[in-house]
Amino acid sequence: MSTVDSTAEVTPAPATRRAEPVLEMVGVTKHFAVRRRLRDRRRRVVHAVENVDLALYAGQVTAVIGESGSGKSTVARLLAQLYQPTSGEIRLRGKAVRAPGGRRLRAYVGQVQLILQDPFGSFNPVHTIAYHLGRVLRIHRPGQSSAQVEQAMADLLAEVRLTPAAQFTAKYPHELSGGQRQRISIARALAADPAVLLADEPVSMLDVSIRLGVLNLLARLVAERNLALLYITHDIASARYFADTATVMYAGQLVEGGPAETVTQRAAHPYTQLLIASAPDPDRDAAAPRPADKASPPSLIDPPAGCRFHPRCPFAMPKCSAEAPPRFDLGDGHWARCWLHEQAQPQQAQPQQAHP
Amino acid sequence: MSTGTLEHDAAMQPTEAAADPARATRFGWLRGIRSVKVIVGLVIVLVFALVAIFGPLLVSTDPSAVSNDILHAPSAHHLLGTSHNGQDIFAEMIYGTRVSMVVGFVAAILATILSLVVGLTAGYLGGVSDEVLSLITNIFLVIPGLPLVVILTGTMPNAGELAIVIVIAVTAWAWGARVLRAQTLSLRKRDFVEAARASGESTFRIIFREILPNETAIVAATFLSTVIGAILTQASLAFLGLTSVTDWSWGVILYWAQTQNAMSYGAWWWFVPPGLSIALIGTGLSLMNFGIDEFINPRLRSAGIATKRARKRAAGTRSRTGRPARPVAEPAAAGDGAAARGDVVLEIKDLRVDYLSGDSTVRAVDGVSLSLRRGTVLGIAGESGSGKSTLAYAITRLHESAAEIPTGQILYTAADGKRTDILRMSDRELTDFRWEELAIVFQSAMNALNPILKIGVQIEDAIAAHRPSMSERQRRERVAELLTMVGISTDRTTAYPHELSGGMRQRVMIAIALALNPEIIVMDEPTTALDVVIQRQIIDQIMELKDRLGFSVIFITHDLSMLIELADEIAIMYAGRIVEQASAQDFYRAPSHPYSRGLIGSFPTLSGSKRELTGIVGSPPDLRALPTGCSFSPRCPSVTDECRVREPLLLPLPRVGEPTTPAVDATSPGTRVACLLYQNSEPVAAAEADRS
Ligand SMILES: Nc1ncnc2c1ncn2[C@@H]1O[C@H](COP(=O)(O)OP(=O)(O)OP(=O)(O)O)[C@@H](O)[C@H]1O
Ligand SMILES: Nc1ncnc2c1ncn2[C@@H]1O[C@H](COP(=O)(O)OP(=O)(O)OP(=O)(O)O)[C@@H](O)[C@H]1O
Ligand code: SF4
Ligand SMILES: [Mg+2]
Ligand SMILES: [Mg+2]
Repeated sequence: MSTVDSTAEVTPAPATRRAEPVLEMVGVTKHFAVRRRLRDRRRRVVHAVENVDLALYAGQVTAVIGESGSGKSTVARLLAQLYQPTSGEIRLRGKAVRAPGGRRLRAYVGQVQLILQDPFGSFNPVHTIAYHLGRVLRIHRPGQSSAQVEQAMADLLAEVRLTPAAQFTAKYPHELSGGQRQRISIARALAADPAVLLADEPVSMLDVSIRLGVLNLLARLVAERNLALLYITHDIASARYFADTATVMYAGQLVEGGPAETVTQRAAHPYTQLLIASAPDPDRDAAAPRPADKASPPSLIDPPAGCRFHPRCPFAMPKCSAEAPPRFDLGDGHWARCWLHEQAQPQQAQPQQAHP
Repeated sequence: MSTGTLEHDAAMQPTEAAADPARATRFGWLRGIRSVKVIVGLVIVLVFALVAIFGPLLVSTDPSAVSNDILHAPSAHHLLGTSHNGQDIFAEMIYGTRVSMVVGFVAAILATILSLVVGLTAGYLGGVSDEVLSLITNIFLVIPGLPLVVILTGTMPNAGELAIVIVIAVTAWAWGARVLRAQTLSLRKRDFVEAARASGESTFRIIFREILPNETAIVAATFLSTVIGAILTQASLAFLGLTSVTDWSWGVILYWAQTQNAMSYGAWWWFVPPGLSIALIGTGLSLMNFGIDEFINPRLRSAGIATKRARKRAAGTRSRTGRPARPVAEPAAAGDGAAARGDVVLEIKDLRVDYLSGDSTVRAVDGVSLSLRRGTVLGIAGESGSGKSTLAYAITRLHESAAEIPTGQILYTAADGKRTDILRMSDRELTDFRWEELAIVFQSAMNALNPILKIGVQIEDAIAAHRPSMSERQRRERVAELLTMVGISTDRTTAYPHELSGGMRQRVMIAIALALNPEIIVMDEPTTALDVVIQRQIIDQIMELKDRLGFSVIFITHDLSMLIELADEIAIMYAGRIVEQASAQDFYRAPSHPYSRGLIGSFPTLSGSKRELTGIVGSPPDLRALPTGCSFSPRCPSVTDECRVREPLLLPLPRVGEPTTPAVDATSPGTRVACLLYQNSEPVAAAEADRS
């Protein structure tokens, strides 16, 4: 079996791959309205995603890690056009797209496929697995005979290690275990043969050995078919092994980003540091102190002013609660949104200084 | 199933599964018919339908023909006697059945189509169309139906059947439309609809192939009750003389009986048959309604089989007296004192669970014995599809209806020392037992909340059901406390499940499990959608509560690093069996089973340099055709010829050179492993394998 990190060698060099993202979100904000209470005159919203820029490149894995409830799934759904942004735009190969439904959405999802987070909710209980896979194959590979569709189904199931295929296609979703459903979700997304795959915690219910197999499969597709992959996960270690770029999300904002190895090994943002310190890791010295973080997660209806992390941040300064930090560039594509890195220049200002 | 060991075979009771006729999934819907109620209902409705279709062809008497046999009682000549004009009531009834049935069914079909169109459109499209359609629906709902019908038919004297049908349909659709709208609204937000959109399905197909099939039960139920309603309405109208009184229907017969004072002549044969028919058809249709769900829902199709057996088994022990009330007021009493700690609170003995699917049975849990000590955490990890969730469901007796438990015991020891076999509890005992003493967080937690209730209400309901003495304010406070405990800010109490992230929904389920301070909490992958910070916070919370209240936890997860930190004991499952059981430290230091070693070798690490991940070659086994000998043998790096023929038992790990002492007691401490490398003949090989 090949190792996960072998993909790192296959991906193109940074200089060329930065050329043009396949799928991109630019300044995207998504607010969800909250039902108003009687007597409450204010219009209240959940600030689920706030001013997010994210780019996915062909042949690259971009990991998004972050707090539960910080907006990762919303980002994926926005990119899949299941939600329309409150502001900002989604660009596919440089062109802004709005495909809320109909033929345009069908064409769009032929290129961009989403794996939903919850494998228990994302299958229709009244249809068999064969129906679910067969529909995607018929929609996105029209003109195939039944035998071809069946063969394609068997191939897909073999790829996600569900064999013999016949044992799974005739089943109803409730007859499968969590991990089996998760693999069917992956097979369903791959059935459309997309250029971009948005995978929302695709392997969270798989045991480590099958997880490794599925991640290797995805890594192979990324390398062979030049797939662009968004990999949302809570398993930071797998992001380290598997992703090229990692971004960290907190309370609706991206707070740090950069090469996966740098972000996981030299985390710059205090939240990322907390995240990494909290990860269970039996290899780590057991005596190492655990971070003491008892503060509750932020309300997204009424997010903290300034840096959204400041109520929990061990390094918070007066400035932090007053003003939201911009992106500070830390070199090598690594950046963080935290005042601690102010001495590094904000990214936007850099080109002007480089050419006085 | 593969060949079992001698011991296994001896313990296996003959399963009734093999003899079960109704097991094929394809004809599963026929099982709905097994219910007596449904059969009776179906027969009644069928008889009426046959009479309606063929009756008038077979009866030669003209129901309107006048004769001199005035007000004759039933006789061989006039089966149901005659009316004041000497008309044959039997003939009237036969013709009347046709009219009543036609009006009933046609009106119901029209009304159902109307409510489908309105309900689905309003529910799926939402926005302005929803508001307009809902307004219209509500107007029709508040207008009292019968008076409206009376007025409408009153404007067309001697209205024909078609007019009546239309009038009934127009007044009857609104209720169905409202139910369907609500259902569609909640289905529309389900992930599978999103998934269908994301795979490029057209709106038309989403409505008719994804949403509608999930509403079949409701549509059918509304349809059947509309038929009843329409038959009744038609009868009422005819009885009031608002229809053409020369077209025979049950209502018309009653109309004549009433206007001609049948009652005062004692001519019971005149009004009893139509009255009885109306009552009968109503009963028949209602009885059918009971079985609708089982016809349609694939999940319920095989219902009844396993539960019936469980009930049969429980029947012997049913009449046990009520369980002793647990000291709720001071739950700390349950666990205080080191003496109470460490004794076994739950013991699973040789548990098997089979799924009856298609024409074969799949043994998802095979001879599992485990024990959980009070105040400790038992971690279960293992291959995806190896039966972990099935085991968790069996412990709570919440397993799928297609599952059955041929052998095994699950002994629960209550805080007062009383032991009960969960598999033998009666339904009433179970209801108390679940949540009060044993709570479970399902793997499907993200999907398990009721989509149409706010999360705060759902937690409150769980508390209210079991703590009726709590005041509303206390409950509110408890809800806020629980939500804070799992890190959800309290301004989200009024959110609906679909408005929460996956991890937040999981946390709500954890909060519900913690709400009643149970003795045992079974958690099936409760943290798959949680980031490590919150995961750690919640686990710390649970550990703290556990130490304070003395409850015990069964924790199923794939996150071995977390399990090693968290659990006292770890059990590893493969293909339905426990292949290794050890204390967490021993497991981490020296995993013994080759599968366990494969697992440890597969997980990426966060600190240190990147190491090569080896993984485990091969695919997960097919449970229907397990290899002979050790199930892991086709994938095992240390496989020997013996492994392919002899099935290893779960035995204590011998020290090097020491012969195996087979102790089958699940409660004995120490590592136990099911691998031939460590058994009998070749202790040397074992030692080598240990070192590698
Ligand atoms: N339809 C909706 N209406 C209102 N609020 C919503 C809706 N969908 C998401 N939210 C809110 O937006 C925020 C972000 O949710 P999202 O599902 O994107 O989180 P996430 O990062 O995927 O979390 P997790 O890791 O737990 O899955 C949450 O606070 C959630 O409650
Ligand atoms: N209702 C059912 N009918 C038939 N087979 C079933 C049913 N439910 C589960 N199974 C099968 O039983 C086996 C065990 O399933 P189970 O859900 O217990 O696995 P699991 O260990 O929890 O896996 P995961 O880690 O993926 O959740 C699987 O192979 C599954 O396909
Ligand atoms: S900006 Fe301030 S509060 Fe925010 S993370 Fe940095 S130091 Fe902490
Ligand atoms: Mg999510
Ligand atoms: Mg499971």
